[in-house]
Amino acid sequence: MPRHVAWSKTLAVGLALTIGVLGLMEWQFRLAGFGPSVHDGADLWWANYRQIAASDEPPIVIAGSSRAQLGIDPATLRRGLDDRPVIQLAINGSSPLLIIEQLADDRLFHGTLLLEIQPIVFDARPAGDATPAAILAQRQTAVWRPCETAVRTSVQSLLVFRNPLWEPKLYPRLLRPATWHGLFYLQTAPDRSIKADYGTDRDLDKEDRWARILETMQPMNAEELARLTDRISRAAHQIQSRGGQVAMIYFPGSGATLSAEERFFPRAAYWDRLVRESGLPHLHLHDVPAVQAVYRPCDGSHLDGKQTRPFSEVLAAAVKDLLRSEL
Amino acid sequence: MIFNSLTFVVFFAAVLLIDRCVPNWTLRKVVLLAAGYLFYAAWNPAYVWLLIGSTLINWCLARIVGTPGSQPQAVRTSILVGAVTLNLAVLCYFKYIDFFLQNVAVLWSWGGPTLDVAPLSPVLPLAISFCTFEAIAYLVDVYRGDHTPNDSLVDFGLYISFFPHLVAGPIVRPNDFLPQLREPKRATGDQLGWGLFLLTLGLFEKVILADGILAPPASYVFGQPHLATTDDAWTGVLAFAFQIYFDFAGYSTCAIGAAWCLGIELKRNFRFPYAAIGFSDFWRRWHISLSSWLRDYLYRPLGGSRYGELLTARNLMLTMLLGGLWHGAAWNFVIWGGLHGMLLVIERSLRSVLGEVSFGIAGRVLLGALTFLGVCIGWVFFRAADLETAFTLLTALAGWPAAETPLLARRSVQAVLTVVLSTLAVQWWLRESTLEAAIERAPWWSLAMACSVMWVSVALYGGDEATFLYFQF
Repeated sequence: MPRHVAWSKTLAVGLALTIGVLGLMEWQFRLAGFGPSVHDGADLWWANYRQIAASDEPPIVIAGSSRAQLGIDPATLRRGLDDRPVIQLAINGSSPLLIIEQLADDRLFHGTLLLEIQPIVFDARPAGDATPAAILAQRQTAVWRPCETAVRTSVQSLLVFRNPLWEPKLYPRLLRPATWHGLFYLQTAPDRSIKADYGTDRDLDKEDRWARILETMQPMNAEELARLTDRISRAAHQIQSRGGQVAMIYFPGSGATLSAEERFFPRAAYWDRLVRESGLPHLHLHDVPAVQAVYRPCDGSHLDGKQTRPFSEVLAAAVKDLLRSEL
Repeated sequence: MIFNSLTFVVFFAAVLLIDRCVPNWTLRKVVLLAAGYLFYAAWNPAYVWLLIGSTLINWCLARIVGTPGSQPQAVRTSILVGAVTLNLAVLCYFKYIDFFLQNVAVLWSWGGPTLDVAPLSPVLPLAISFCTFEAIAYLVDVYRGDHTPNDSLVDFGLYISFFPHLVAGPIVRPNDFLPQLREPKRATGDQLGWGLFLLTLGLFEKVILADGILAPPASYVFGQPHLATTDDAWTGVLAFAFQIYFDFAGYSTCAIGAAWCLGIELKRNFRFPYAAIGFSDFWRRWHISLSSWLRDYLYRPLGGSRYGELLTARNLMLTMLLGGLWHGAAWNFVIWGGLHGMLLVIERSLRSVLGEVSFGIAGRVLLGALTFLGVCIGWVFFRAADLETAFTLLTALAGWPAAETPLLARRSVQAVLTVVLSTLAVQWWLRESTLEAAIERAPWWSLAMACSVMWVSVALYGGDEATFLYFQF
């Protein structure tokens, strides 16, 4: 047994210092206008996925990438779609292909799947499937993990200083609040929706950045596109055979990103062909006048957090019309 | 659950509270045992029955094996052999069956047609390697008469399933643990203080140093060795050497701290291993509970160093090869164990040729540096996904990299070097001492500051947990 150390005094002062430092950080961050954000990892994705089985009525599930995750406000969409539960399963920078196949294999899913389509879906490189594959492989087998996710998410949604964007390299900025501009420009909610604040982080290069990323993609050839269409169709028919619905929604970019999209992934060759050959209900956001008025990606690819509610209201109405016409 | 999770904070607070409230010692032991099973069930409830079954069987067999007059000596010996074999058979099935089948198939294919063997892929019960070694230690100790088998089933259950050491050690020994359960005990204020401090230190080592700073560059370099320059390779290997140290030493420190909070002492598992001078010294400082187990239950029963240099070398090699295999069912672990065995044999031969030579400071530092170099080379095999990765990295370490453009960012290299150099400095400074002695000498306000820095860091970055590396072993 080690010898005596004045532990009561040591731990009490240590605790007081800790609470003081964290409290000061929290206060300063809130003063600067930042809000809490949760860690959007595999655990949270699966926590949301499990709501499929827990839903009393067929849920609306969103699969896709960051355009849907940053663009759709689940609460607003839910209100616009007769209060059906909305589950956000979109994954940043990925194709929804593996997710639709996962849902097709899941006999508990018989809701409506909104499939966000954007150029990454037509990228022949397998990069778009990497994150979904990793997340699907991390299905929690340990009993305590869902509990941990729930506790952790609750804590993170209360405290700004637990923001997952916080990195050691930001320490030098901590002492200079004037440099906090854009420190936490993304805010992830427990329902996995992300609100971006481009007001504080308007990076004019971003639009070009998305365009440059599009240039690095490898557009699918006709044969690859046919295989993709086949996989989506088969999965969709599996879901439909259980009474579910699948609708594809194209989220276009803007500015230089849109120009790059049209250059590398022309609508007629990709989107129109996918729609035609899959025969699935579909919506191209440029085709809906009401949507166009509220859908204006700020950085060439994503909506600002302030735009998500009006956009989701209009999107809900458009989806409702689309699905009604299909029934 | 794992120590670096919020669920554990809630669980531990509840256990601590119940432990402080229940006045009856036997009842408190039952509560601790139940907590161990709950802790285990948090991973996979079905395997709790395996743990309970194994505990019951080993306890019953130990009572027969450990009572000299109960059966003839030959029967007791046969029962001991049977019990040890049973424990090892369960371990081998869950951990090594696919590795064994895979290698049989490869050997078969050399001599004739390809043999397709479908993997059985049993789900490895958590902590099976640790529990098996603890059960074997108990059986052998009671057989040898080193420990009397009159422990209650609850005490024996707690010896196996005391949650702080349950899933990743330290591997406890009957004579260290069980006598503590005989008398009622409750943590004193000092024990609670030490316990909370060690828990904090262990979490800091795991969350900030291992996962936060060292794991990313290590994974990056080991993930793409063909893109690593010589500097990258060294940074990656050093990062892994210290990642695995802070990961596992962090877990052990947490385990010791959690046990202290409940008034139980667990033996130290690490003692500044990177300040070792020689490989035998390294193994007296690294994963002490495993190396001492291997020494007492494998190396010495094989004959130890009693029958000449050749047989000693054989015993060392066998012990280290099996010690390597204990870490996982893969050839890279066997190679790692073999390398350490070989280095131990070489060191032993040099000692016998040179005799007792005393070295000055420079000589000791040089020998320490050579030991550290050998250990780092061993880590390359331990961490590499395959032999190709290991040899690509070793080539890069030797100055023939496959790439010229740096893979790692300068900031990442600086962070790794800062941790590595400061840890080496601390380990060399304290190599003849203990952490406890250093803490006792420190002024209270510096400890308060240290606690605060660690708590703030863990509060900022902890939570998005990564599992401890040694859970997989």
